[in-house]
Order: sequence, then structure tokens, then C-alpha cells
Amino acid sequence: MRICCFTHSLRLIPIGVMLVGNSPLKLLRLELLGCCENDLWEIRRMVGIVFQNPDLQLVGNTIEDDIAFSLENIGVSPVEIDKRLTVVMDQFQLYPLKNQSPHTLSPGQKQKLAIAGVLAMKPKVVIFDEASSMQSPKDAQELYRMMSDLHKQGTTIVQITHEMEDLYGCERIIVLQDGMVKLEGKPSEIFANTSMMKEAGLIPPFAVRIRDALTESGYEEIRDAITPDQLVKQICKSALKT
Amino acid sequence: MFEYLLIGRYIHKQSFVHRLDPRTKIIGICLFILLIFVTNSISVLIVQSAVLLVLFGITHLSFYFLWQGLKGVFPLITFVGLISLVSYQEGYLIWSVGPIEIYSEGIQLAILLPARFSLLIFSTSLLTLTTSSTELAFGFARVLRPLQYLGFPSEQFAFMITVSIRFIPTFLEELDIIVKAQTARGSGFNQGNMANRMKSFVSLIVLSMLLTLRRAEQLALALESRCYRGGVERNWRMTHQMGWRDGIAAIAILFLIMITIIYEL
Amino acid sequence: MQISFENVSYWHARGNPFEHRALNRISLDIPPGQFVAVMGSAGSGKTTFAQMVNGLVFPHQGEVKVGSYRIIRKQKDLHFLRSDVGYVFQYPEHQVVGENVFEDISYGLQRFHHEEKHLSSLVRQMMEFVGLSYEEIKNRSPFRLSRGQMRRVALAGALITNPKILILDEPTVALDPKGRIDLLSLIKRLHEQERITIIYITHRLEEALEYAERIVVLEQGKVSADMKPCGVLARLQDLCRAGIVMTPQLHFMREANKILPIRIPDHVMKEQQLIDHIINLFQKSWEE
Repeated sequence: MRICCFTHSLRLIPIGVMLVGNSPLKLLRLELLGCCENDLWEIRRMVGIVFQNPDLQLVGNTIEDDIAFSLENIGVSPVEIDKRLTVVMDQFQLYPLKNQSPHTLSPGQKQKLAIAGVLAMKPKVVIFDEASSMQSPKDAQELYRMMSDLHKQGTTIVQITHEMEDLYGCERIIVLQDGMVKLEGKPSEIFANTSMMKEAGLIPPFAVRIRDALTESGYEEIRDAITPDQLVKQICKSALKT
Repeated sequence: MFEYLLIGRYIHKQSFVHRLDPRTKIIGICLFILLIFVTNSISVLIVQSAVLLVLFGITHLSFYFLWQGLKGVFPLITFVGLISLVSYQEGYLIWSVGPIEIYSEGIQLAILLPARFSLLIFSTSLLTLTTSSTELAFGFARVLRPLQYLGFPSEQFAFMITVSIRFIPTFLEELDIIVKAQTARGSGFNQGNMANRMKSFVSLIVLSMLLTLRRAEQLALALESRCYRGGVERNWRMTHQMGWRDGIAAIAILFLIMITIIYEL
Repeated sequence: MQISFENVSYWHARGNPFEHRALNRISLDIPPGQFVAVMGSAGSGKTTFAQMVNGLVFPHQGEVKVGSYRIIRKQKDLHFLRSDVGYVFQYPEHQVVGENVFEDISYGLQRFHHEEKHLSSLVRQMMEFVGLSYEEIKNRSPFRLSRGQMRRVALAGALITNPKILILDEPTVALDPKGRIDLLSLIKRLHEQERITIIYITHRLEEALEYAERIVVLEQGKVSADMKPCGVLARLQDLCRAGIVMTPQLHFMREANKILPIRIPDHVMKEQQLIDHIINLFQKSWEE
């Protein structure tokens, strides 16, 4: 399941993680199969979070140590730790850097390291809490690719974000406002009528904006276009039809 | 600006010192520091410095680091040296000009104090340059374990030390940015009268502490989400065993201790 | 105030094993009143470049002149250059100098010995310009503001000394899209009203295209591209190599131009222009 949650100055934090701060909060309750809600540590093991600022998740003095940190906490055996380290470092091309200090990495690499640390725990759900907002657009793109790959491998992804351009990869979108669910549905449903989205203070992605502007000017035939490629096709079709 | 500071940086190599058990290194450096401050004779201090330099040499790390570390504190140790030179009035008078009187003990202290300070910095740098955070955590946790029976949370204390070390370079980088940001706003670090400069420094310290506290809060959240449970015993990935290298290191330390004791008696 | 860089080079941690060349013989001139976007990936030298304009770092080789100031350590009164060059840092918390918003914004005036008589009315004016409520916020600590508000406070603090040059280092990082648009419109308005030089560092090509008059791309410390927004479509490959991501609009234009009989012209950089152009296209095809 891949869910994109769009928030407008809100923070979603799963049950059990300490809540601090002034912004309005909502507790997201995830029903995990066979998992007792009260077993916080079990939940934290199965639900990994990647935060906005990668620097504040990295505690090891070397890359290897940092990834191993979570595994040591959950009691994984040293042999198993080594195995998972190799797998995850290969996945993120971190192996050549394994003895370097995290602060020597670029912001994009730091975020990759943070994700590696989360994935090493083999969680069922990974939450990306505005994980791309402090990254350059290029690193953000790679992040989205990673999310897609993870999703294909069967992990549930919850993406908390303001960025509209990426939600095409989601199966389900939840829009929150003032602590309540304002909108929910598939991307095609949400984009069919963007007025509610705008009410929630969100700006639709480029292709949807262009489509809206054109349909408002009377060109109804491109109503169905919501992705950039669909937009290109529909506009060219309409422009070429004589 | 702060890129030269060495405490907190770990540089991975495969030297003799790197491969020592972290417990050996921690206890060794602590004993070394004790010896530095116990000894009053310059010749013993020279022997101790020689040992430290040899150790540094075998780490294959560039001596450049030592030089840079010294450069960083040079003003401070010069200041300490000068103060002791003119204020310690024991022994016999060597020289006097006007109100300034320099005594023999003063000269000795003026050499001892800066030397001790420098050796302190070098030895702790040697420790952090050659021991990764995880090794340090393991070392501290094991060395302090007996204190747990007295109720002291040694495991958490050890973790706290190593995480702090990991954030030293980050903290320094941020400090550099803050200095630039405040200079851009007109803060007088390098100009204006003394009062202005002091104000600027105070504001710098307050701001960096505030930001550090905020960082700590966010870090705590991240640690919890990474399943860190505080006092619960963690499964160390690498447990260290003492080896022949630790034997040699122990002999070297004993040798130093003996020399110091003999000389002092 | 003219800015000129001539063959400027700079190394981080010079002489150290960690040495790294941040600027590599850069030569660049920025005439007064221009809105320049400086782009490049992490480590390309953008921040070093900007910090040099404010005299926060000094070139190791070459010469940097800002107005009548030469950026060298020996330059007298470099401190006063900073009242003419406002700098908004990437993370506004690094620039906080006052216990409350009023103190923070008025700090510049006090530090550069400007006229202090009408302090509160000046601060009020500045806060209104950046869209903050004077009465509500003036006594609040800057840390109790939202990120967007903090950025505006930082902007107000930089503008209060009436600088001739304004440097903005990725001011929209970690802001939501609406916050980005609001902040950028503000800066655009500032540029149109006061015609001050604006050096705008960003990763986001759409911001540079929408608001800047000139785009300079840095790659590994060198200028790899220097053009007007309308020239971007022709240089897309260079931009990609420099680590800059194509905007959805550029992607659309590139794909559409493969199929459409009449190309969408390169100068159609802004969204509204694109919409108008497409509508024209439809009308023409309807007429035919």
C-alpha cells in the first residue's frame, strides 16, 4: 500500500513516539496484523520513520556503525547484523564509504543512510515525514524512485509531504486539515475536482493546474488529463484536430 | 574556521593503535592524563611526550593533525604560560624588570602547564582519532560497568558520551555558520569596542546552545523511533577481545608509571 | 553597486588534508539592479560565491570588488559593506540576534549606526512590507514563529538597512508550495519597487525561470552556464549535467514540441504564458 498524506502545517506521528512541539498533531493509528497496540517497541520496529533532517537521525561515528545501531537496539545477532549491513549498504551504494563519518556525506547521501538504517530493521511500514523537503530536487527524485522500489517489494509506504508533483506514484491520497481528514481517494478521484484541495490550502501539480486553467477557458476535452504525459497527449490531440 | 579541530573526528586506519581494544585505550589514556598531571619534572614530561609521539607515529596519521590541534589552542596555552611565569613566586629570583619578577619555579611552571595542556589535547585527540564511536561506546560501557552496581547508569552515560562526540563536527560546522550569519548582520566579532565584542560572543553562545537543545529534542525522537531503549542492555555487534597488542600497550603504560613514580620519589 | 569577480579561486580547509577547491577561477560581473539566480548542486560553490560578496570569506586568488570595496582582509570598514549587502541565510535560526522580533529586526540599524529616531515606525514599516503583523508578533521570540514567518523576519532584518544588494541563500527550503510562492512574490515586488541587486541561490529551476532576469549555473566551482531564462530550453543538457532537475513545464514543452506542428517558443517560461499560448493554439486550430 502506498499512501500519500498531504498536510498543511501538520505533523503525523505514529502512536507511541514521543510528541513534542507546538504544531497541531494527529496520532495516526496503524493497525498492524497480529500486533498488540500497546506494544510500543514492536510497533516501532515494524514502522520505520525517515525524518526531514537526516542529520538528526544519524548517531554512529561511521556509516557502518550507524546502520548497525538500530539492529543492536532490537537485539539482532551480530552475525545477522553483518549480513543485513552488507545487503543494505549494497542497495544504497554506501559500501565504499562504510568507514567514513556521517558528517562528511552530502545531504542526499545522509538521507540515503538514514533510510538504510530504517530498512535494515526490515519494517513492514515506512513513513517518510517530509523526507525530501531539505533535499535538492535531484536527490528528491532519487528518493521517490527509492520509495517506488520499496513499494514494489511489498512495503507499505506512508509519505507525508507538501510536494504535489510526486503523488502520481501513490495508490491513495489523504488530505488533512486542522487535524481531520478532509479528502481521501485515488489520485484520479482527487484531481477530478481540485476545488476541495485548494480549500485545504494545497496547490495542485503542474499538469493539473494547466488542465484546470484550460477547462475553465472552455476546453472540456482535456478534462481527463492528470499526469504530464496525459496532458501532452490530450493537448496535442486537441491542437491537431481540425 | 573550525575545520581544523580534531577532537571528535575518527579516521579509519589499520594501525597498531587502531586495533587496540577500546578498553585498553580508554584506561591507558586516563592513566596517561593522570601521569601528566602528577609529574612535576620536565624530563619525565619529555619522556611522556616522546611516548605519545611514537604512538601517534605508528597510527599512520598525518602529524599535520597534531600541529593543527596545537595551533588551535596556541593563544590559550601561551597565555597560561605567561601568567604562570610572572605570578608564581617560588624558588629563587632569576630576573626582574620594574614590577615584573620572574622566579625559577615560575619558569618551570610556565613550561609545565602549557605542556600538560597540550599533552591533554593530544592524548584525547589520539583516542578519538583512532577509536570509532561504537568502539568508544563499548569501551566506556564496559569500563564503567562496575559502577552500575552502585546505581550509576553507565550504559546510558557511555552512549551519551559517544553521541556527543559524533555531533562535535556538526556542532562546529553550525557554529561556523552562526558566526558568519551574525557577522553578516553586523555583529562585532572583530571590530568595535570590547563591550560589543563580548556581547557578540555571548549572543553566539546563547544561540548555539539553544540550537543544540532543539537538536537534542529532535534527536531524542529519532532515537526512539530507532528503538533505542535507554538503559536496556544492547546487543553489541562487535565485542572486543584483548589481544597481544593490548599486552604490549599495558607494558608500555606500566613502564611510564614506573618511571614517573621513581622520578617523583 | 557593481559586483565583479575576476579569476577568483577559493579552497575550503586550505593546506589541510581535507582541502577542497570551492571556486575555480570564476569571472563574473553583476550590474546593479539585476535579479540573478545562482544555481548548482551541493558543493558547486554557490554559497561560497555569495558569502564572498558579503565579505564573509576572502578569495585566495583573483579579485572581488563590490561597489568601491575590495574583498580582502585589509579592506577598511568592511563591516559597513554589510549594511549595503543584506544576506538571508538558508536557515533563519542561524541569524537570530534578538530576544524578540522587534529587537531582531532593528538590530541592523543599531549595529550600523543608522538613524535611530524612528525605530519603531521603521520596524513596523518593514514588518508590514514582509507581511507580518507588527502588533501581534513584535514581542514574540523568533523561535516561536513558524518557519515561513521566521524567514520573513530574517528578510525584514536584512532589508531594514536599505541594502543595495540582497543575497538570499535558498530561502524556500522546507517551505510548503504556497509559502514559497508568497515569499518569492514578495521578493519580486521588492525588486520591482526598489531595483536592488538580488542574488538568489536556489536548486529549483522553476523559481529561477519565474522570477529571475539571469541564471548563472555553477558546476564544481566554475561557471558552466550564464543565460537569460528564455535560453534555458536550449541548454537543458548542460543544466542536467550540473545536477539541475527539469521543471514539469520544461518537460511538457520538450515533449509537446516533438509532436506539435508549431513549436512552443523558448521564451514561454512562465506558466501563465504557457496557458495563453496553448489557448491561442487551440483557437487557431479551431479556426482552421
